Amino acid sequence: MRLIATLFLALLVAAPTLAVAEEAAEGATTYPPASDFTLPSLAGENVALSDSLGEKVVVLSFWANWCAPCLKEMPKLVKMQEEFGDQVKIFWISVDDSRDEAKVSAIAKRFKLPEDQVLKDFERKVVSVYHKRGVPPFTVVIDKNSLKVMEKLGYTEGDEKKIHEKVAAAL
Amino acid sequence: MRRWPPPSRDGALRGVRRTPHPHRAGALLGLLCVLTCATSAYGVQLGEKKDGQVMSGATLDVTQSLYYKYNVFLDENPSDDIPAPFPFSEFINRTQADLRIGPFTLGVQFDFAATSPTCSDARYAAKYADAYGADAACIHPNELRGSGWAERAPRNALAMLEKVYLKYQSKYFEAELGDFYVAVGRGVALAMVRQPNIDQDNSLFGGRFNVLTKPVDVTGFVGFTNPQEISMELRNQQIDSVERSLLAGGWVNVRPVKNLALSVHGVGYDLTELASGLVGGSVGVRNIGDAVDVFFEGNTFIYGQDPELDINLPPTGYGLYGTVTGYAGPLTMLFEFKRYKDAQLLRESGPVVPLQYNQPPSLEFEIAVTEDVNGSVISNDIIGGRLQGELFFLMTNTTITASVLGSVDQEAHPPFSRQGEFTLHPWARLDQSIHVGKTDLHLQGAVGYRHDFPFRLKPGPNVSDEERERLSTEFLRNASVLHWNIDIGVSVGIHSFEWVSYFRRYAFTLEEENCWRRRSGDETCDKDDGWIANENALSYTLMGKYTIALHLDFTDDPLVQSLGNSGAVGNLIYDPWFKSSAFIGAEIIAKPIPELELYLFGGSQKAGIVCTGGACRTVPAFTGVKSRVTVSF
Repeated sequence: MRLIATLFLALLVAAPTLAVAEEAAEGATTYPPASDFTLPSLAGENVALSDSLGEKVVVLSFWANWCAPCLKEMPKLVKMQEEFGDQVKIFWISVDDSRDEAKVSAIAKRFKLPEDQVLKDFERKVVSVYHKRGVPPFTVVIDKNSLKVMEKLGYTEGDEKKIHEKVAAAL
Repeated sequence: MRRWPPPSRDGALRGVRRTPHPHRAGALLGLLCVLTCATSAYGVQLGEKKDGQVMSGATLDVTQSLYYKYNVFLDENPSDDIPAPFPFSEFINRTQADLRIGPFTLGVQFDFAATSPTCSDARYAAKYADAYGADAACIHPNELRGSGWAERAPRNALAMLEKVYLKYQSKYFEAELGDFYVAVGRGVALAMVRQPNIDQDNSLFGGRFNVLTKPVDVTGFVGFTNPQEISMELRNQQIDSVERSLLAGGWVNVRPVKNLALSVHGVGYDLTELASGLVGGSVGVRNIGDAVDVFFEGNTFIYGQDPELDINLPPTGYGLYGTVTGYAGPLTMLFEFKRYKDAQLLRESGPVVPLQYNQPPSLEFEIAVTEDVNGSVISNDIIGGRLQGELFFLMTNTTITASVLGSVDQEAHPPFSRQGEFTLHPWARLDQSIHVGKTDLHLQGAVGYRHDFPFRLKPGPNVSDEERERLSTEFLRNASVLHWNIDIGVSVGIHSFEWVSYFRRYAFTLEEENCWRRRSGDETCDKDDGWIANENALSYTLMGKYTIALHLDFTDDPLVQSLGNSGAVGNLIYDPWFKSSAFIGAEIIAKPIPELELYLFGGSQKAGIVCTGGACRTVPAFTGVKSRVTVSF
């Protein structure tokens, strides 16, 4: 127990330092470019990221049908898509197993996600490029210069405001 | 007496818990501090995007993960003379790097694992001799061998180049050499993908191409199976050489008109000693009358035959799967149907390792009566359907879901079902979000009940008298599971609290009365038995970056995947003498910057899906202390 208490204390002490480091770094960071990909959509057609880059701010939301935080985030992103309209394109990228496509499709219907914006990464070839551990939810905001200006792992209530801020700033 | 076989010696571990050694804890703390202090790296842009330069627009992504685990074992029986296995440390490092230059990506994954102590450690050897006698040959607490090592790895440390690949990617054409993943159709035929939450990774090493056009896709692949040998999440216990099998196949998807998709596929493989293959196809029609989607997939399996080999394979098998989805306003209806008959790529005696080659749809919304995915999911003789209705009201953020499953499974899946069974499984869920001022409340609750009505299999002519006798005495009259889960999240400004709880009550009735000893020591005789499993996670998250979670789990489930460090999800050991166990653990997750994640767990952990800090993952059983530092730059 002494070990755990010591480690906990160490993390608590380190956390503010790291937070300050993040703030300091934000100003100086060169954002990395987004990698292009082509994935099939629920609508059936292949969708290339490069078709949306440049003119719009793009949000990639990696999710899975068994991931409760993902389903909490989903309606918030739907509202965001409605609010920003054509200026922003959100892709909901499912990292489920291919056997769960029916469940993926039903969830897309439930939240009224545009079928051509729900992409199937069932072989996890895209999520493994964007996030090696590949555990959803994982959100990426890509600005009009095709740079990844935000990468966020996990979702807790209120995170959508941070995503909203990043998207608005990138417009 | 309970009737199932006794546990294996290395599987059933229970009783007194040992605590970690303080000097090892000190080393861990030092490691964490060093790594934390050394992480200030950021994106590496190797050159500006200018035409004509060799490194024009190149990027290098590197992810470095370090894992330290201190495994503590439980004493199987404190009253006997056999000591608990000795504790040991595991250190695992994973380096993943992608170099992208224009349309090309060169990637590697390099793993390193080491365990301590070993028999060359004099203190360990002496301790071992004390426990087992001076004449006993010393055995390592954890042995690493790995592909390419005929004997134990020197110093019990192993370095593996697990994955290497070169990809070319353009809008209409992709090619891959080296390691790649492949999923055909809905997973009935083939699904070799990475399972990141349990770190199970079985790729193909070879070549693959995809042609992607609007009306037609064509994919072809050939390669040898290349399972990842070192695991970050699961225990690296006695890593052994792996056998590699050849697979080749491909598919053609055609979209002749809008909303219609046709596909044909074929796969040949030598996963058993005999070359086998499958062919199949699918048809999907979307938005029929703007209200209905229909999908159907069929596969025929052809198994190689050789009467001289002692492999009892049927000549053929088949797998059928279909869905109908209807939607109208807030209502979505989904019907799934399946029929699998000898539809497994790998047909061998003994348990099939799940999630390796094919993963057909299971229909189950919740893993139910048994978590034995070998049995309930990939049955060799099952027919069933599931109807689900879902009402979603966007204005109030309310979702009400209900489903009912019915299936007839003709295959026995011991230890829970030793005969065919008819299954009914109704299930319902409510999902509600409420937003008041700065406070967000999210409530999700689900409840279900599954009942299996077993029926006797007809013993064939090859069944021995002994087997007939066993079947008659091991018959379950019925089995059931009542399960519920609840997830309550409250968020106020930068503060978030969440409570996630799962409960399952298993019960079964025997055909004949059986006698056994209760926990109190009294002997009892009746027809009923069962167990419960309860998992709770209480977490607090600050600014979405720092999470503290407390886990409280309890089970008297005799499937001891949830005990000690005895294995992984899907690697089940049945212990009929197991009584009950509580698991208490705490974890801290810190994501101060996107490039860095610190993770620390201490205590005892039951296997299963864990959701904390807004992310979910499947965890293996573990007792001890583990930490992880993940750095991406």
